[in-house]
Amino acid sequence: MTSEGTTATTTTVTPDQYATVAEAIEAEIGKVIVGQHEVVRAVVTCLLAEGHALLEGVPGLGKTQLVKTLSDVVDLRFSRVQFTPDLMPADIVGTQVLEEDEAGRRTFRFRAGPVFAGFVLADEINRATPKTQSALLEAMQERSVTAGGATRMLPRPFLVMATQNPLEMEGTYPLPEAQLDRFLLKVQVPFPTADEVVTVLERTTGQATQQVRTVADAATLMGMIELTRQVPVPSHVLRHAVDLVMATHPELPGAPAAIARYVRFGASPRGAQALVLAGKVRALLDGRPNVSIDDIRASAPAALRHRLVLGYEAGAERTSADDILADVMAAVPAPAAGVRGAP
Amino acid sequence: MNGHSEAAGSRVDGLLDGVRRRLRLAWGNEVVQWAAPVVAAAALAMVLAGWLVSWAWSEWAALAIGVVAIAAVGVTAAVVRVPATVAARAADRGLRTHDAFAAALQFAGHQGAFADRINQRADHLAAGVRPTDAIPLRFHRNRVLTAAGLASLAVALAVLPNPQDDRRRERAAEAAAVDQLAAEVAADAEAIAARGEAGQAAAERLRQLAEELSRTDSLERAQELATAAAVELEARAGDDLLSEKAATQGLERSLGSNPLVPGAAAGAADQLSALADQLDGLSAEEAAAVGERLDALADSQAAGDPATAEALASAADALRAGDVSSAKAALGEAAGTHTSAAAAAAAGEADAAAAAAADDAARRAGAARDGSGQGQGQGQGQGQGQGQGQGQGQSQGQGQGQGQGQGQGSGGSPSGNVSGGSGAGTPAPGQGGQGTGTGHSDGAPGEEPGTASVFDPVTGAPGESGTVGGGTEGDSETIGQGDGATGSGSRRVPLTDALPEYTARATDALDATAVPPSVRALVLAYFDSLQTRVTPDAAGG
Repeated sequence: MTSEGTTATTTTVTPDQYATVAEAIEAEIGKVIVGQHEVVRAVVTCLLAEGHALLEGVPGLGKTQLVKTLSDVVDLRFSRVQFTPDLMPADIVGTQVLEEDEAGRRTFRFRAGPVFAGFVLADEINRATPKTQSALLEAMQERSVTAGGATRMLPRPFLVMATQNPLEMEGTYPLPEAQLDRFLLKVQVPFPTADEVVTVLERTTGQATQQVRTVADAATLMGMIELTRQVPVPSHVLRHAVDLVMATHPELPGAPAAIARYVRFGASPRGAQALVLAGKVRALLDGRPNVSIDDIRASAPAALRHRLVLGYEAGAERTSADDILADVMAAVPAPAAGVRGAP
Repeated sequence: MNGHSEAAGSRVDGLLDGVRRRLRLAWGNEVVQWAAPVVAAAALAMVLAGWLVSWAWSEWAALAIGVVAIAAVGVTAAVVRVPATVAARAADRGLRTHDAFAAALQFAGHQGAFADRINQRADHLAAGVRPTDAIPLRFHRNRVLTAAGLASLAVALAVLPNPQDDRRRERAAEAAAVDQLAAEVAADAEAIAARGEAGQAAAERLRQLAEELSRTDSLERAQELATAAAVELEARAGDDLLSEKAATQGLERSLGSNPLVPGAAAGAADQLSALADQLDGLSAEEAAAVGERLDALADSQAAGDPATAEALASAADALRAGDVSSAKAALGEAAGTHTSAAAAAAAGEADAAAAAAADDAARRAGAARDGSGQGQGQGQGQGQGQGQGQGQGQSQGQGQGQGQGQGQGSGGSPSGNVSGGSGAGTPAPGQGGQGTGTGHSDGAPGEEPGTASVFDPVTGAPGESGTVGGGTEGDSETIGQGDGATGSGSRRVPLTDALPEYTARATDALDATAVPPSVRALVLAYFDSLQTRVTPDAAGG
């Protein structure tokens, strides 16, 4: 194994600093991105959990702009890959090139691809073929790249922020389930409100350009990522996260009706990990030292919607994963205290 | 953990203790509201049952259902186990503290920045918070209203006059009457027990009867018990009690007024014993006189106390034969048998008194039952619209002559059933008295055609006395007065007198009406059959 990337040094961050820095990141993003607070919060959550984010929305909603702005706010090496149907895996991970030195000796040298960055924007990822999409599998999960018989580590922190258009759009390829599962959250980017669009127009059709400042370096981000993982989770909260994931499996007894009807495969254990990690970030951003049931439930749609493999009936009846997850949430309510009459 | 953390822990613990108590209350509140409609419905059903059947306890049972349900919920709420984790989670949910208390409880012993922050946050959240804020009591309006409606209806039905109230009062009165009977029987038992040893057995049987009566509320059952006791006691008293009593008491009175031995003790047995002691000194004339006296006494005892009579006769025979020793032995035996007979008579008398008391109790129970049943009987009679007359005549003459008459007749039927009164009296000196009777009509076919009578609408008049057929033993005469449904005092005439007229009128009616020959033949055959039954001789000829 060779070491291509470097891991940033870690700065110790307290929970208060954590919240302050995160708030500053969101504030800086807010200078460019109008509204979309939930989307920004989800992206920041992925950043602080060192998880990958998949942003889905029709073109023109600012998905790419959001990720570019985030890369400006945090001091990470940024690279952007525009996924197209003719994009090849080597265009992403890199390739061996034959070089000749001054002495005339020829050797293969690995030319790192754009994936060797701390912050990778995979723009319109579903416009590439599944083969090319899969080039990111190892990088996203192992944070390493194997090419030319050598495995190279990627720098830390390493984040992939992918954008995609809805599958109904022309020229798109559905992402493989294995790759979808590697995204911590799938964020639906909604259409902005009319007032927000007015603001967007005011900001983008004039001469002034919004400038953002860098508020967190890699070391700080690593400190925040480590702090995220230190947040305690009460046992009943962990259990609730597991219950939610288990409820998405149609083969298990007691599965909700919507799951049994529309879902072919339920969420993997990565779904539960995503729930807990996102819950931890949410707790810290809220100034709380522990994860709560509410954190888990609030994170559930973004953490689980891309992990459900829907069946034919879901498509035929235009039932979305979010609809199904709503049924799951209703079927698995927040655990009561266990005494009749208790809230 | 520093002092601050300990204080924080105490604040959180205090809050959780309060939440625990509050959870018990909330549990009870919730269960009560959940169960209230069911309990109220059950109570209402019980009250409604009390409207349909004469259960005296239905309203109390309905009240008991409610009380027991509330008590059960209260006791369970008091003892139900509420773990600290449950209280913490309930507090978190109620106060929306994002699992702060549950986390504080779970990570209480942990070290690290987050553990301290969790404890501090829990402490901060616990300060100034009341358990009532965490666990509000919820009210389920529909359930409460439903329960209130059902309960109100149950109370109203319990308070309103109940169709079964009269029956309940009757049963209560019946129970009181039975209790009164039991008390009176018990008093009778003590009175009989006061007679001494002879009355103990009879008193014990009456006490047993009183105990049995106290265990029943039914007059019918009380009557059965009292009757059974009376029969048993009468059997024990025996049929010869009067003669036995007359014999023993007669012997005592006879020897009391004319002692066998001057100066001896008053008792008969003592006198017989004293006489036995003095037999050796009697002369032949005196012995003969004593023998005659003993024979006379033996005759007086023959019916009621044959053993004593036999012993006295033996003693007299021995005296006449000059066998003093045998006479002494016979006199001693006579003293012993008399003593035994007197004791038996006393016991029998006690039994008879107890039997009378039991019989009186049975009679009073029966009278109370009849009294309670009169209302129903009258109602039924009026409803059927049938009138019945019943007559009873008594005749008293010399001696013990007694006459009784009862007449039955049919108001509208061509034949009736009349049973004559009968008088029972001693044949020789008795002379039947005069009795008055009222007729009883049931319309049954005549059983005794020869004495049958029918109502004669032509000759009868209200208030007019008529003769009711019947026989009396002796010279009794029975005069009855019709008082049946056909009208007070209506006259009845023998069927043989009325039948020719009935037949003629029926024949005329058949002649004047277009009646099929078969029907005409049927009607004529009916009257022929009547004629045959009324005059068997004619039929035979």
